[in-house]
Amino acid sequence: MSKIKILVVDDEESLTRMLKLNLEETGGFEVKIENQGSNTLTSARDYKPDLILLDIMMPDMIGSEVAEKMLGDEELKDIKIIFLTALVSKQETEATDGRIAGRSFIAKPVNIDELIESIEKELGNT
Amino acid sequence: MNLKHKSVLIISLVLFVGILASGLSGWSLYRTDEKAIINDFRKDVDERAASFYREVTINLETLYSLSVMFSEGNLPSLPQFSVEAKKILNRHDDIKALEWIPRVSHSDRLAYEKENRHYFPNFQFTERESQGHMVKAKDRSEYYPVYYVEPVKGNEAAIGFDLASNSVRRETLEKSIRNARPLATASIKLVQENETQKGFLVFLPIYKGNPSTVAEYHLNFRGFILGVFRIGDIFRNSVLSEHPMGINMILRDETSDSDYDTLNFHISRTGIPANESIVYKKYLPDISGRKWSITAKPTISYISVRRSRLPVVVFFTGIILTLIMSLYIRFISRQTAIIKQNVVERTQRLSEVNLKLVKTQKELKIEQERTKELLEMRTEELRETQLQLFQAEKMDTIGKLSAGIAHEVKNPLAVIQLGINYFQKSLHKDEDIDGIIQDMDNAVHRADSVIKELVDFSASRQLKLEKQELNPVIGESLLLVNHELTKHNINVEMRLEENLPFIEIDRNKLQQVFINVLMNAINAMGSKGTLLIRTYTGELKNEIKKHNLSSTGQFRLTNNIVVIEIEDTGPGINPEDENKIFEPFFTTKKAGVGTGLGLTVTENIVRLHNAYIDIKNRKEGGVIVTIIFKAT
Repeated sequence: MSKIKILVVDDEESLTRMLKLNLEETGGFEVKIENQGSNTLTSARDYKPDLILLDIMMPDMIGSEVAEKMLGDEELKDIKIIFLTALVSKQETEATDGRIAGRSFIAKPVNIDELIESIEKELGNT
Repeated sequence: MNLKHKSVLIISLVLFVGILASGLSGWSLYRTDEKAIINDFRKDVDERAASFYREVTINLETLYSLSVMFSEGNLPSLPQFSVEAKKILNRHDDIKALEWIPRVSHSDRLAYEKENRHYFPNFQFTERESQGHMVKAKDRSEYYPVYYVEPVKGNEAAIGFDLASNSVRRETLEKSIRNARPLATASIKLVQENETQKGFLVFLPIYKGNPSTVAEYHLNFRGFILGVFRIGDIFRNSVLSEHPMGINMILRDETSDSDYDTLNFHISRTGIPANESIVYKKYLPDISGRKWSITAKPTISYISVRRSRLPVVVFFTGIILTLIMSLYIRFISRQTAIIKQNVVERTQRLSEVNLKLVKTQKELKIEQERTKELLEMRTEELRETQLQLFQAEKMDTIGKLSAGIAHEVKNPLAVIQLGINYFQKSLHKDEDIDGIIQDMDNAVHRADSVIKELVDFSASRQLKLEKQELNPVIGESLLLVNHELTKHNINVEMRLEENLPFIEIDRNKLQQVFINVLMNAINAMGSKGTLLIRTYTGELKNEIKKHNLSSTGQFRLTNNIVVIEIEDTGPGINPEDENKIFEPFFTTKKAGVGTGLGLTVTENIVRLHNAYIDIKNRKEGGVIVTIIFKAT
């Protein structure tokens, strides 16, 4: 079974590095890091990930805009996205079962087990 | 007394006085007029009396003119006497006869009788016997026979009649002789004419020489010239005017006090009856020793033709003026009544308006009071709103700040969290390391919770108020904590009153409140308990004692309220902590489980709803949380 390809997009380099470490440590994931929101689409085209962990509040381009552009891209529209953001709280995501306005959300800070659970859940939906 | 009666009274008075005054002035004028007429009448009578007296005097004068023939001792013959007498009689138709009556002593009787038989063949001195027949006079010392008579015709019986034969007559004659003045007799009836009228005799004594003493008079006396006068004729001759005067007159001889002798009746030629109420008596001057009077009465027409119309005119003018005045007063009083009525109506209208004004004033005052109250209320609300706004602004800033902080803190927290996760999996572990990693993990959780509640706390400031029912919100909140209820084995008892009044709430924020309260209760009860949730409505004044409210706050006693009570069967609040429960960061939970902001946020949200929250221990144990909303 091939590894699940995850593109992690966040302007916080330490966070992306920590995510990559944790996910790859499990052995089930292959992680590529993108620290510039505006490069997300390019990286996604190059890397062709199964799922993108997308930050929302980024300096150059906000996550929701990235998601919108991806929806409009024939090549990228089917890639799963989980918003990993500090904008929502754990209580909110728990109360809504992680789905807000049809999208999957994970509140920062996130426990790695919960994250993997969410990713598997998201990919299992397809 | 009303106006109508008053005016009727006045009019009656005016009519009475007016008619009385008119009558009196008319009557007074009438009387004055009548007095003037009576004066005229008297004057007329006076004139007539004077005229009559003059006529009598003129007649008596004839005797003096005849006496001239007998002066100086002359004795005229019968023819001589007759000539003179006839002249007089021709001029005076009111003299019936003129006679010569000599004084004859008994010794001369025969000579006298013989002498006169030349003219009267059977002449002798005669006298009237008791049966009335004329007989030869008895012998006396002196005789006063009727010797000459003119006219003879009609007087034949008198010729030779001795006047001394009648003692009464003789007295008169002797008195005349003594006084040397003519004397008139009382009236006699003259029957010899076709008309019956009264007459009288006047004797004029004739003396020789110029006697001056009574004795000389007696001695020198020769005889009388006698005149027989017709009173009626004299009266007729004394008429002054061809026109009838309209006066009835009675001529009387009043010489004898006891026996008034009516000499002549004069009925006015007008033939109109007399006015018996007016009588005027006029005494004539002495007529040869007789006292005559004229008693006159005017005829009705005498008065009436002289009456002036003035009294009548005055009377009727007065009446007319009175009537005009009465009508004018009636008109005026009616006008007054109308004006008074108008005044009354206007006054009434005015007082109505006044009343309305007073009423309006009262209403205005009440309205003013209400407005004042409202204003105070609004001011209070405004102040509250301002306070809230100020608070909100402050909190908004805090909110923004905390959101920023949250974002900035959460990323490092995420890094730490993931780092811990990595260590947990990859690090060679012993008990100490496990403990440290677990502590670090807890610390991250706690930091995350604090940030989250800080954001909630600041975000609680802005409410989206809508009119909602309370009960459904409770249901939703319970659903969200259902997992916890099951986990902690908590039994829920619901006593929700149906059809509660709507309240203005932010549904999500209120859910947060209920979840907080419920979670507190669940955590307090631990592994077993009962949750009692009750809602009801009522008036605040009925609830204030029950809830032991220290003040009504922004409520009013008459406000309708909606109450929710959440009771648990947990251990209750430690009495020392009761005053601290709403303080930020106060918590009784273990580290990492509670942040101490839950009830602070709850209280904030409740307060923003203008609601009231009270948390206290139940007597039977456990805690009761009461939240009171103002019903809309």
